[in-house]
Amino acid sequence: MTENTNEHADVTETPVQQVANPTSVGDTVTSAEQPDRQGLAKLFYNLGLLRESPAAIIGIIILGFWVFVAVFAELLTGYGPNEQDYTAFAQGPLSAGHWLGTDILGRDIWSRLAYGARATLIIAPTAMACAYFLGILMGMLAGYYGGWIDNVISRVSDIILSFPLIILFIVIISVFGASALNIIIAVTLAASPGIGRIVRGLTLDLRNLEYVSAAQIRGESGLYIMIVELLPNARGPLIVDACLRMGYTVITIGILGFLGLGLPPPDPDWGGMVSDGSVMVTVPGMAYMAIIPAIAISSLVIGFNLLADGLREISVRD
Amino acid sequence: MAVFVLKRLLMMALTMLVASFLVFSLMEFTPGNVASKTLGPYATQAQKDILYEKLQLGDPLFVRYGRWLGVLAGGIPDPLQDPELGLDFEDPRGDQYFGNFGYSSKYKLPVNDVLWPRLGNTLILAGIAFGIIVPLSLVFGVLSGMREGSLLDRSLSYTGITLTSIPEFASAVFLIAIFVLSLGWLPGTANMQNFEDWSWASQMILPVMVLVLYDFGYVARMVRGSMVEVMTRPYIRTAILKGLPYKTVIMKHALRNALIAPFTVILLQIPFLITGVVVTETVFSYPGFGKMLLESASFGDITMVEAATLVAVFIAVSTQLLGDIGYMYINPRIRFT
Repeated sequence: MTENTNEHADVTETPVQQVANPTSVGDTVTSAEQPDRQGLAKLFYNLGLLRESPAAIIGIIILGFWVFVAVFAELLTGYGPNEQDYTAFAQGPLSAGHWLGTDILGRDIWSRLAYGARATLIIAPTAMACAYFLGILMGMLAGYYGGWIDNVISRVSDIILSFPLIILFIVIISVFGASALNIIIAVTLAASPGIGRIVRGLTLDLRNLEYVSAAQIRGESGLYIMIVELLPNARGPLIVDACLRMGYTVITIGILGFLGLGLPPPDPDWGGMVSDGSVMVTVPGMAYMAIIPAIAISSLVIGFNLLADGLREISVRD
Repeated sequence: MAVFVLKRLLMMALTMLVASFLVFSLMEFTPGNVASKTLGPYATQAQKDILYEKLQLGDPLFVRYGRWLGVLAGGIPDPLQDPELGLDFEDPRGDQYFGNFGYSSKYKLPVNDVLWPRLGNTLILAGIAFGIIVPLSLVFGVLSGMREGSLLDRSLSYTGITLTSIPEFASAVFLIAIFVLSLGWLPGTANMQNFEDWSWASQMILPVMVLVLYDFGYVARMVRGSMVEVMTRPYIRTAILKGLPYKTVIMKHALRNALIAPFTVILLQIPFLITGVVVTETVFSYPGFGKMLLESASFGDITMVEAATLVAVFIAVSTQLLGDIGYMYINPRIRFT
């Protein structure tokens, strides 16, 4: 969150600079080589570019796996996530009826993992969507209008960005209680200034281009220009940034769960599962309870980061 | 230069004020809560009412925040130490002095007696980790950025992505499973006690490793990126074409320029190190600042959380200021007026 939201803001400095040459990734390719691709065809063409990056493919496979598991959790598991099997407490992986084993309370780990994937894959994208909405709004206003609006927004962002985010999370959640909504609020608050800063930079680069002036002369409103003219042209770097941030948000949600600030028990939460299991991690034969969910979180984050890396590679090459 | 530093110092003070007010207003959002949190779960309603009266919790938030600042600056005695309250809160320094953070209801000690030793422990942990992360990532970053696309470069790139993708609590679990459970070489906790069983060094290894693993990949990738960019510059091409040995090109021409950008990144890492430290300390029960913060927040120890926030924000902003000044210092192309 930690920054790491800050952290990732820096990673994305690179794409920001590239926008000095204003055409964004998708546009260059489609307009230069295949001018008549439209709609779905264009989307498929752009997706096809990912083929050239092994990192992106591995990332997509991992993400696809978890999305599949999250969507079809009911069909893929034989037990409810909170259902206790009183005949099988703390059974190791590959035991009868529980292929990933059960936890101390006899709950099926695979089933908790699958429903936990659903929780993570709902909370993380929702939080990111909120953060992007707020961040894009802040960044566009600051970058397009400049002046005192820019000053106020930038100072507020600076203050939030210099906050060690974990403190903000701990305070917000310990005061308002642990719930999915509070996690989303905390992540939105923490991530939007970083997004705003990137969008502001992109907007500053794009603001003085001819098509913006043309729209201004046509008499379009500021809002129209921001949404129709600026936003689509800033999307390339933002997509890469979103992938990175998504990975980091998954880590943040995991950290909150691990620290006991995530989803309230007994609902499955990957970070909480690691935390529950970590009590037993030094007991011979019991370490799997913490290791399995730890692998799950790490693999999901790796998926997002590989995809981001692949996307960046492709955008740099074009 | 002096004007720039002065401006930044003012900005820094403002940031700390705003941050502390933010946390203050979050923590003391419900004034009735303040009284019951301070007294703990077994207090009677009458006791809470007395405290509510005594602390003037009915006053507006701004007034109460001003009073908190007054206590901190030593202008006002700490109301919680008033013997009339019977809370038994006693600070050997007295109830009115500069830097009075108040009294911790969780640890039953003056905040200053808990906060600074804990912070010291954390600085040791983070300092050792930092001392390993920086040279390690500089060496690997430069080596792989030197020849973009080489085997070393590609393997470092994927190692870096993988390492930064594994959250600290997950890598801690993996490492404990390997080194504590399977091999039995190291202890699974670092509570800085029982030195006869496990030496100080053996207790520190795993927490440091967790921090290093998470941050190494990120910093190394930043150094690499900067190095790759520098290697494409005309002056490097010139140096190579005029027949300088490759080693000289790297050492004399590329390195100095490549290290400018990562310098700030490394200092910006410090707020993230704080996040990592909270998690790592919790996993290993290390008696540090992060664990203290988490414990006091979940206990509802308002004074402690407020003090800890101020200190943490101070650390974050002052390292950023140091980063900016250092950046100006090593990069002659940038001149602030």
